[in-house]
Amino acid sequence: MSATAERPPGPRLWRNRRVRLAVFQAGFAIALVAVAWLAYRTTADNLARRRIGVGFGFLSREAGFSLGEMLPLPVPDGRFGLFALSLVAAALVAAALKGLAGRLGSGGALAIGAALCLAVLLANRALNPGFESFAPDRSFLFAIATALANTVKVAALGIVLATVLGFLIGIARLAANPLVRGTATVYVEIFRNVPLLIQVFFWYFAVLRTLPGVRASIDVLGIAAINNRGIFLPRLVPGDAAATLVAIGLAAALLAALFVALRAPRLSLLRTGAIVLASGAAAVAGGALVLPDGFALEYPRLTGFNFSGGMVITPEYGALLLGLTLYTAAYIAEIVRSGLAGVGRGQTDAAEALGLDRAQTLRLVILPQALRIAVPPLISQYLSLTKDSSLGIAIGYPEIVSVTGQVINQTGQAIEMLVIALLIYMGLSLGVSAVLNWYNARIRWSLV
Amino acid sequence: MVAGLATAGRRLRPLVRALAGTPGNALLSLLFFVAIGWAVLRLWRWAVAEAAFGTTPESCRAVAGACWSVIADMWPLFLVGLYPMEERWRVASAAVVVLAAALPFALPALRRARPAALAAVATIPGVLLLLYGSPALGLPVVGPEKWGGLLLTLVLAVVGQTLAFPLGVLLALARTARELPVVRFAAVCAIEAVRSLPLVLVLLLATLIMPVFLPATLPLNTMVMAQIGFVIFSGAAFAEIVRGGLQGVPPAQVEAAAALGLRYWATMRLIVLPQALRLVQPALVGSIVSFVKGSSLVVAVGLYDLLGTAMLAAANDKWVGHSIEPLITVGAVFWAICFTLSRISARWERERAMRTTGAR
Repeated sequence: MSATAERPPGPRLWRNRRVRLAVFQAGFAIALVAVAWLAYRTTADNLARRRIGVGFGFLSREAGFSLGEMLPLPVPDGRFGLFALSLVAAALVAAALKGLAGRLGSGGALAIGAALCLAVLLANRALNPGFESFAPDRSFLFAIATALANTVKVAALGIVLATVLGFLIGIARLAANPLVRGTATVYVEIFRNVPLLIQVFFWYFAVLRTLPGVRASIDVLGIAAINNRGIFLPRLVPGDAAATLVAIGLAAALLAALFVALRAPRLSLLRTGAIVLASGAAAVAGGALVLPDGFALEYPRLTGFNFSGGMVITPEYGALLLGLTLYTAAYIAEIVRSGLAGVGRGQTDAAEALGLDRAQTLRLVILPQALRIAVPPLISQYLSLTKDSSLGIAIGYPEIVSVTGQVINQTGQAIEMLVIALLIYMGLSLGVSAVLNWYNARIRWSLV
Repeated sequence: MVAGLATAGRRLRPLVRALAGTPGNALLSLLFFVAIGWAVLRLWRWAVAEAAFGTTPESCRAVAGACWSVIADMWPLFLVGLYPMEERWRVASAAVVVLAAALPFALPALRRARPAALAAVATIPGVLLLLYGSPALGLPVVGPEKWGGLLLTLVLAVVGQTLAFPLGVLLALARTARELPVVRFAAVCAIEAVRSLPLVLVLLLATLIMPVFLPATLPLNTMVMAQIGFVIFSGAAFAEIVRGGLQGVPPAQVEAAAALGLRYWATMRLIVLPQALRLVQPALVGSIVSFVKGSSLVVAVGLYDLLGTAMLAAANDKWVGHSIEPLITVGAVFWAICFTLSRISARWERERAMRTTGAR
């Protein structure tokens, strides 16, 4: 402390290291501000010349374009507050789950999840915002929300499918059987080394779009149809009693989760999940016997030039999902393989000495330890998949990037859209990594 | 003879056990054998036995398999895009120069020589000048909007990586500069913002925002703007890898350098960076591979790289309906580049592991 005071009258001021560092940083900051100011002036000039306004006011203007794919959203036009509120609620849910899961175990976490779903359902009934689909006369904000829903729709399913496939292939990479091992190796080397966009184009232009036309659709047992406009599947249509049924199911799931939390707090997440799901499903099935007007199956039917009714997997969605899944699965397989290889040989020997068979050894001894190695790279792989879903722009799947491009073309508000896209992608990254970090922390606790 | 058979039998025994040690495993082997055989047979019939190898659309009329005629007809487009016919010798000579510059890296004795790497980097401006042309040298100008196919893919990848690497190193140094909080904060913001965005969006924004940010008088075309976006994206990714390497260098190295009286830049250049980069070399090659693959995303901003020209060929009236053959061809080229790169990296890593264990 006193060293500075007692320092001998040293070199001049500009020889002082701290002074020089401060001067350098001040210079850097000034240069940065100057560049920013210059860019701002040029931007203002350019925007004025093109008659483009500044600010986020354009978001509530009419979009004027249509989107090829949309989910009905509880986002009535202009009611931005509700939309923002639901995002905040989702963030709170994640935070609450993260904070409480450690203390309550998996049953507690799922109980909170079920309770929240129930609360959202009841709030939904009470507020009755109604679910609406995007249309060209709706706002730009609605278009962006729809795009976000589309991104989440393809990324979430992609993550699940790629994980399942990736784990299978990763385990097959270490199989004793050379045929199995070789097939897995060839798969990984092919799918990892070809650009994702080529794979997506392949599935889109060379496979899904070359299927027969609507009139010559491939009929699957009379309940589904496959043609170049998509895969048409039956769909569950909610009746009048649907909300009641779902509420009953959620309540049963909540009870089951609470039961587990109180009686068997150390049960694994997988088993708790199975119990909770089974009791919810049983309650719904039981309720359906009493309330006949719950859900009905609606089959796709050929009317005029296209199918109507049921639900459709569009070629765009299908190609993007296939591409993302198969590409990411190759990377996940490598992560799983190195995770498995990272578990010491002694563990297998010890498990064998305890009399476990190969499947038990894998499930009870190897996989739990391999997961601990694999989770951090898995997180970044899931983030990559989410970001890679932006390739939808190249085949006309309306996810965030393609809608961002469309909005910029329409309005010229490039900088505002950059800010929005940045916020959305950072939010998605934080969301994915929050969930997985929570999981990571959990498996660490259970092991140490 | 009998003895020979017996040895062969003994050699085969582990294989037989691996394939059919238990009844379940034997069934699995049979299943995979049948499936692989069926797939290979189908592929052979489609790609070779029943395929057309002509040069005209007529040659594909009668065949049930692949129509490779589209490749035979369109291959110059795939290689150089719309580069003018009479100037293509320039691309060919550029390719010769590049191959000559890359040759030392194939020879283990020369690979580690710094002059070889510097010479290879130094050829890049010359090659670009040759491709772009200069009236003073008697070469007509061929603007980047005419570059396409494999040429564009390689220019984007090589120029992009060459510029992105120093940018990434600078950003990583800025991010790890403990005594410069302002610089560090700026670097963290820049790196994290760029890294949270997908490459397509960065390319899209580069082509849409740069004309707004920059004075209207600057001559900007899509290829240059996409290249800048690509450099920024790759630089941020490199920065994070290099930072990992910097953190892996023991602090004692920096202290020792300080004790020797080395200044900051000398310490970094001579002591820290060589060790840091060697630590993360596999990750660096991995990200170079992913940028080579990523360069195909310029299709989304309307450039015709290798993938773009494949789609262009498939959209040609003459070859309408033949998208699978160009896509597979282009995929195979990308695959060959990426697979080779990752193999080379794996071999370097093995060689180094052997050297270090040998030294101990």
